[in-house]
Amino acid sequence: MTNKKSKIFFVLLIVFISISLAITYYKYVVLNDFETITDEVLFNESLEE
Amino acid sequence: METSIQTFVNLCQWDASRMLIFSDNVFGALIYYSHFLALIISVLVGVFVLSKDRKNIVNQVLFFIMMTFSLWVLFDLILWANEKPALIMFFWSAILIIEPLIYALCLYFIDVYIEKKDISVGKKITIFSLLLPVIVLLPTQYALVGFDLTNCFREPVEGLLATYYVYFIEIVYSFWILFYVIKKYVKATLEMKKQITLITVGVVLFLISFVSGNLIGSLTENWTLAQIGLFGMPILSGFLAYLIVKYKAFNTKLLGAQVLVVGLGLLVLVIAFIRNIENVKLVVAFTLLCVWLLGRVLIRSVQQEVKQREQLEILSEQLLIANDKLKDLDKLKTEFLSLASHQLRSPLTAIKGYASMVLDGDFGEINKEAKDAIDRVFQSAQNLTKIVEDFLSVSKIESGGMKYEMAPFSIAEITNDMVKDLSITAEKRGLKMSFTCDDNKGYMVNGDKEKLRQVILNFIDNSIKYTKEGQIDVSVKRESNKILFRVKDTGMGMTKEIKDSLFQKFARGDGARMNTTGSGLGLYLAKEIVVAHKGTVFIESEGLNKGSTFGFELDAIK
Repeated sequence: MTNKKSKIFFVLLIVFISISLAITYYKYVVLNDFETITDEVLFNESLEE
Repeated sequence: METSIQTFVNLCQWDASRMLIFSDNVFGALIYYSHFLALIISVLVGVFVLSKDRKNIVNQVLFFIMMTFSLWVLFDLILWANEKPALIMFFWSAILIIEPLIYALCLYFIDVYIEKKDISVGKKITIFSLLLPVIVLLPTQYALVGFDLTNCFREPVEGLLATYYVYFIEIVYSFWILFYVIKKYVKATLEMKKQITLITVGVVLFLISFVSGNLIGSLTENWTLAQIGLFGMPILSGFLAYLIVKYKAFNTKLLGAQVLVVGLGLLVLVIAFIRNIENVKLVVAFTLLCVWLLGRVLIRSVQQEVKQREQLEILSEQLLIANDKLKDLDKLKTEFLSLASHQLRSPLTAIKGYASMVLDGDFGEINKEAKDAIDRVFQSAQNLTKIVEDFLSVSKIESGGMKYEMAPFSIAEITNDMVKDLSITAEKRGLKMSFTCDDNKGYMVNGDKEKLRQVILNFIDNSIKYTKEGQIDVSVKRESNKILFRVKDTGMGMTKEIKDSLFQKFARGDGARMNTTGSGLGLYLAKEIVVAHKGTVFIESEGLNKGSTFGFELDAIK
């Protein structure tokens, strides 16, 4: 951008977002570490709908 | 968990996606149409605007908005098509950060567009710090609690962050934009008010349609109707195109017209992505609306262009007439100068002749006071003769009547004669004068001896006039096939501004204060004569009161 401080700010912002996304990807896609919310009754109702 | 999920995949009959975005899970008829339209237009507008001026902050921010939005569109399409819960969890999370980021960038964009400059780092931190909780808590259950397998909707269960905080900061950003714009609008000029209104309408429409997709979808469960939200993107593009053409915003000028034409083409092309023929009417209506809007902008810009061209033609004709008049006036001036100078020369010759005779004692002895007075008359008449000669030469040059009698002669020889003649004048003013040249080298040039003598006289005479004390060094050098004449003095020197204008007609610089008898034509004439000999003139000076060097360069005869 127009000055050095501004550049550093945006680089840091992009880095933080990327790290957060990378951790999320690793957790969900690589480790498959997430809850599955199941309820047989609700599911059957959903299927009937 | 894997078995359980696979069971649900089979029971729900989810289709396996190809290349992440293609599958039969995309049941809405307009989903591909709306997504591809928004994706292509946002990438094109972003790249186009940035390519026009990479260093402009407004262009840069708009580029980031377009790229972030295109990522959102792509991820949204993946969510529509994909059947893998892990990937859905990830892309849903990514969208949770991208959505508020677009709002923050829109606020940033409005600010830099109105201010025409970047905002402070402090303000940036204030704007983007609202995103920090989303960035930090994104991989946790505050964002997504888990994947919902109580139905076949292929959706995660959102946590507190996604359900409340993301919407909360989006509302904050929206109000922030509104308050900021109202504050700036009140103080703005009439022209700026129009620009603020248009850019705000564009951005607000974009954000409303962006959020309305989610709202319509959530409230009505009709996700096909929710696609209407994505059409906000072409609306924003239309406004930007209008701004580009109307106000030449983003330094893109009328090249915006090309984008409009490409946009029209794309509108037609993406019709190919409609999956259901029943929706053709809706799409055609939308395309027609866009064609009407873009066409109106194009026609207006062409009308404006034609009007400007007509005005330019009228102005051009008026300029031609004025130019002819000026040429006639200039010719009259030259003729007048020539006539007046001729008329002045004869009486001046008589004054000089009689004054000289009186000084020589032809009319008998006169006392010292009378002699001094006659000497002043003689000197003044001599100065006036030189000025008249200069005027005559200028009028000859300008009327194209200056004739040059070319013949080979030695520059060193006439310089030596000139230095000898002018040394007496220099000594009278308390100045030392020297002449340097290497006798063994030839200094022959092909030129008009009398005219070049006048040039040398002008240069040396100038140095004597404008040097109070010190020395004047005259030199002639041979450098390969060039003859270099120089007069270096310890006089008043000059600033760079004066140096650049000194060879112009009637330019006198600071010397006018020191010597009031000059006409400001000597150096102009010198330059014209040297240029007519295919040579160049030059001035060197390190500044005021630091002396100066005048000279010229001519081709030597081998």
